[in-house]
Amino acid sequence: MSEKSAVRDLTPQSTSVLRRPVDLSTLGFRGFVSPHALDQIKRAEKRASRVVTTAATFAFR
Amino acid sequence: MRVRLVGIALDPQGAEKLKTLLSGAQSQVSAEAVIQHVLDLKAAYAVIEEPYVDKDYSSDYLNFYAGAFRTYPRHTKRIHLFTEDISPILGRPLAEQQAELEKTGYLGFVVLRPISQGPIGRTVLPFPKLADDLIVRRAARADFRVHVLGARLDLQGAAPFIQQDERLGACAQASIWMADRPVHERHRRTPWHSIAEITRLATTPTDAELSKSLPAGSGGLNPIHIIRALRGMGHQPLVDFFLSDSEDVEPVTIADAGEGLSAKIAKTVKTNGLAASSIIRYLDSGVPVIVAMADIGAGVGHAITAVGFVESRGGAVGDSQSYDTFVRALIVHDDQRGPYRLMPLRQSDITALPTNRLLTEGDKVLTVEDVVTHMFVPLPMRVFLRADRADTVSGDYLESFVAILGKQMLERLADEAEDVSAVETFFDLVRTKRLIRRTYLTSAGRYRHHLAKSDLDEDIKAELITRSLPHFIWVTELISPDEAAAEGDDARRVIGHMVVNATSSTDPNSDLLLVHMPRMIIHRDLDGSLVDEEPPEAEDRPVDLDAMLAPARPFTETIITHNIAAPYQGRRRH
Repeated sequence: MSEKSAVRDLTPQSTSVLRRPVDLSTLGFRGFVSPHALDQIKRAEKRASRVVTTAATFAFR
Repeated sequence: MRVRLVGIALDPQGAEKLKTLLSGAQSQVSAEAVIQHVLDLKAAYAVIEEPYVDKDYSSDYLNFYAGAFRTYPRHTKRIHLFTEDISPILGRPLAEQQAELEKTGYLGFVVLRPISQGPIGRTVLPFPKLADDLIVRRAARADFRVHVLGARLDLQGAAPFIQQDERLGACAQASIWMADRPVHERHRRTPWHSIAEITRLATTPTDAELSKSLPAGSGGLNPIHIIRALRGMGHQPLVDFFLSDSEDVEPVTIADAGEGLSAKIAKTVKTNGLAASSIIRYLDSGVPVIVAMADIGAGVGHAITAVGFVESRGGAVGDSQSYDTFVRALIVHDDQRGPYRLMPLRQSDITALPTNRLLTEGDKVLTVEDVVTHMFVPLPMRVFLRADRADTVSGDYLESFVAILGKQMLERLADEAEDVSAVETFFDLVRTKRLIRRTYLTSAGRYRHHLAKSDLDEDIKAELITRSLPHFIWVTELISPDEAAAEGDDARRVIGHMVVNATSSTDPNSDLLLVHMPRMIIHRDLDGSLVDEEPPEAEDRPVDLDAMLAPARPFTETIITHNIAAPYQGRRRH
């Protein structure tokens, strides 16, 4: 059998400057979307829907 | 029938002749704008090719003009524009002509339709060049190839323009055409559509409003009609509304619009200030945007197409946290005012822009903050997440992270390498809401392509590039408000970026995938779970019901720290 393997892992590696991954939850952080941001998202969707609910009001010519 | 070529030198008399040809009965403003634009591009010679069979006019002819009592010509003329006098070349042997013409400064063409109310047909010309302190960012752009007596002439990165003909379509149909055509030419993800087909899609099924003008749709469209047309053409129409929430709007019919839009609307059009940031995110994604104005002061609503924007070369010129803070104006095609007009974002931007290109109604300069009330965006079918949501999720995450973990992370990073000044500066920008977020849509493939070519540290690149991603993503680049634009038309340098899933579901907690900040990378794994699956060690191992019933976490997040904090080049799209 050949000493050189015919099958090699070619995935780029990034070990020299990066440290081991740490689960953020162990540091006391969970990145859930805040209530304020959720409210902002809902308001944006409601605002966009006014294009349809007010459509008969507008005419572009 | 033989093809004939007629040359016109574009000295002042020649330019005036060309303007007369393009003007028709009611098109003086657009004709002047086209001539001014080509002269700004240093056009020196025009060649009129006739007869020319234009696919768009042929479709309109088939759908309307062929059936009219009056006889309309079947063919158009095509006017080619060059930066030099090519008449000597056309006197040479044909084999030499082809080689020489292919080397000339070809600027594009204007199709001249034989209809007096809208003679400017399909027009393909390059984007303008402006003063050194203004950068033109081309959003809706495609490459075109034409043949003149066998010579192949190429034009790259242009946004097609067209006038409405007032028979088959009005401004809305022309705007839809100007948004769809570059997307079709560049991506080929939607079929080719003429104005007649756009009108058919918009007006099927017809309704009482449409039927008040004949042919149906020639009197204008309302937002539902526009959405219907875009959807029928194969796009995923995304819409937004920019009138202030306190507006009370009374119903107005399309037929009434010609006599003056509701006085109440005309007097109280008040926008919510969100149009600029919303529109720029899609333009920065390479997607054209149909911009509508409920009342431009003439008593009627009007739709135009934004095909790019003009960025200031210096630092921020506005006070937004979005990329529009660096932007002076939208570049728009207005079928009634001409191609490549500039629509300032704010009143304060007017003096920074060339006066002869400003979008005006009479003496009034039309600005985004004052008059834009709607936008319609022709998105790809697989994009399910809006830009503003991606931007909100990104901004919210940074604020939460800095507020909760900022101090702890500074201590950890200081233990690893003493200099944390870049991280402190970054956190400060987040806390004081000064960090600028540039959010744009891209494909995972293009994201990785840009990442590989960037000047980011090689090991950071390797860590990010192997990340599994969905086909479409929203990228949010994080930029200092003091960061000036790079040389030429390169993008500004960024201090980090974030990636959001553009095909995300209804749960915003599943949106964010990746965060890169100075000295930190955060990965989100959406398939993570709190429930560890361990094999039973003994047959009588007790059942842990709480663990079984505990809801799976929507994601697991891991942070990787490193010593790299240097800014790197953002993505140059235009």
